[in-house]
Amino acid sequence: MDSHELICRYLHGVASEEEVRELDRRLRSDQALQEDFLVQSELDANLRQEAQLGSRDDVQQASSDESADHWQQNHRGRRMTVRILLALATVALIAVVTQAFLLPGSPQEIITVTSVSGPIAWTGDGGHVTNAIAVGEKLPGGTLELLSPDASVEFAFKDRSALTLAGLSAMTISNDSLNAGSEMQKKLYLRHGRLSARVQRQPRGRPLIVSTNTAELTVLGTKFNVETSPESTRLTVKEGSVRLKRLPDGKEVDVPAQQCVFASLENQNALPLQSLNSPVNRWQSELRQDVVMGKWTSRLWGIGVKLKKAVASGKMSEQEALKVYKQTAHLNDSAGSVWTVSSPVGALLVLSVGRSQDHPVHLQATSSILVRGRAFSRTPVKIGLNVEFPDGGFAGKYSTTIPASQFAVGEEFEMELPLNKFRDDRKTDVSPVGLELTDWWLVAKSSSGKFEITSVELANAPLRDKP
Amino acid sequence: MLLWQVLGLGANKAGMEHPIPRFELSEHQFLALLVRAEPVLRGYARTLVPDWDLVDEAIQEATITMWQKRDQLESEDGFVPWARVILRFKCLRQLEKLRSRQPILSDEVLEKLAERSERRDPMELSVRERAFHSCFTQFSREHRELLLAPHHSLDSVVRLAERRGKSPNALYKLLARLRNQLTECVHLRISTEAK
Repeated sequence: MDSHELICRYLHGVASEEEVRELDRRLRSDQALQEDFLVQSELDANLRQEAQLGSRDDVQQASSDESADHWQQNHRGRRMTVRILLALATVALIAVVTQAFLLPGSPQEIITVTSVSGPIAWTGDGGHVTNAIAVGEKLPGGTLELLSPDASVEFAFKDRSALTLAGLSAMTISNDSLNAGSEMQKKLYLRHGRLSARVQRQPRGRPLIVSTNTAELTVLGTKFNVETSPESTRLTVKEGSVRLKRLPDGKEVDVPAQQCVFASLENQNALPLQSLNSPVNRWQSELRQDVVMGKWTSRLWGIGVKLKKAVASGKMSEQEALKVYKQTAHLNDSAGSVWTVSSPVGALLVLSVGRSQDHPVHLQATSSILVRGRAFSRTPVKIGLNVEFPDGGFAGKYSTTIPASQFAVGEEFEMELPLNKFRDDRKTDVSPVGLELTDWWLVAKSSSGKFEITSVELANAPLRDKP
Repeated sequence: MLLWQVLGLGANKAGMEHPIPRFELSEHQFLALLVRAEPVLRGYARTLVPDWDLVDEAIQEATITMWQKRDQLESEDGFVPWARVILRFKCLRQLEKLRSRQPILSDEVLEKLAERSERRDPMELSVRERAFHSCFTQFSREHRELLLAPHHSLDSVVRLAERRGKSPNALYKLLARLRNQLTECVHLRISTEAK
């Protein structure tokens, strides 16, 4: 392959390991090729800018009756617009940075961001949205939204109460104050996702309130985790106690340390407390129950589709198909698979371990993750684990990247991923051994990536070493 | 030796450790310098990082750092070299992320490319950018679509191949040829203008 093509493939991210090695070898000594590489990089930057300007539309316009001159004129206008937009965006960025780093603390500031990872959106006063949230930034009331399973944000109140949002989560921090003295009452609305908190003792009469769709938590000072979906809330208390009120019927329960409670819209009879069970080191996904993000399809549905196709193609009569379907319908319909769903950050799938497993699941040095499924596109995939400390609090997110070459379109795959393959981008030398597994997730880099997952399992020894 | 050590980052290069502020930079001036330098910085980051998402992240992080450290800048003329030093550091951080995902060039080669890129005159780059736009418009609609395809999404070349009934590999080869023609056109236009 000629050097020019190698450079193109490298810049487009499609070069194989061998091709990159070859390009590297040629670039070492060939100064003309180094120059060509720079020219190609600059060309790529220009093309990228052209693509961002929406040249596709322009290309289509150009193909119509418009003259090339008119197209060029129009294009220059748009270029100017983008320049202005860039300037405005930079001004906005500067305003944020100025507020975060240069101005003295304003009375509106409620939290300080202590750690950020992954794509995050912050909606502040007046609906102003920004993705440029930096560590050290002081924020007033507003909504934090984590846009990817591998995102997390840690923040602290002035009294050093520390909270972590992790995975696909959204939470609103209220600006409301009871105006009782100088200290505000902390009020949070967890729309969806997972929140871990270590809350300092709160002033008398002003507990921290966490609201969800289904419950309201009253916190005086404690360590707890809460996970919520539109239909349910699971509260796990590690230290102290938290009062949970189920919103639909107002039923309340005090949840002491080492207990958990599950409040849902479905079951409104009782709010039984459950002791935190002794940890286990194995987990087999119950996909239908565990799926947080992804599309569940039952095996029955899949069979129905196949039968319809068989009838349509004349391979089977309608009567025969109905007979087969009825026979199959006796089977347990909890069998099935989950499919990735598209999002701005790629194709996603998230499973919550705690939904089907009552015991905490602890990771061990010999743990492995076994994933089975089918690929419908050839794209790199990141597989990750969210973990918490056994005594409460978010501990990090560990992930490993599977190259596109591991997948064949339409083919089944089975991957065994030893725990030592997983890394935390922020703390590369810290092992997840001994931590509690809370979520398993998959992100395909392309949002059009399509994967069907049929099973996820945590085993305690390399599976392939089994006799 | 690691690339960042070779490049002397963290040392006193570009006056980053003990700056002597010689002039004040207002928000407006900073903004103007940044907007003017943006294409040069983007091309520079692209030389080091073969992933546009990470290039964007590096530039975003570098912009914040530049604003925080703007009092270290000694003159307007020094903006691009100074910004490149900050950006290089941010790019190296992004490269660490990328290393586990896809094969990338060795530290030694990246260092050579970075050094060579830093020697390039920003004025020359803006001339090249203008020439690019003149040349790009001369390509047919189909060819422009293919040239831009890799910048829309990772698999858009594959989708385009499906639509055009060709193999992705054939389209990548055509893409390389088109880029070559575009490069030639840019060279030609610059040398014609120089005359």
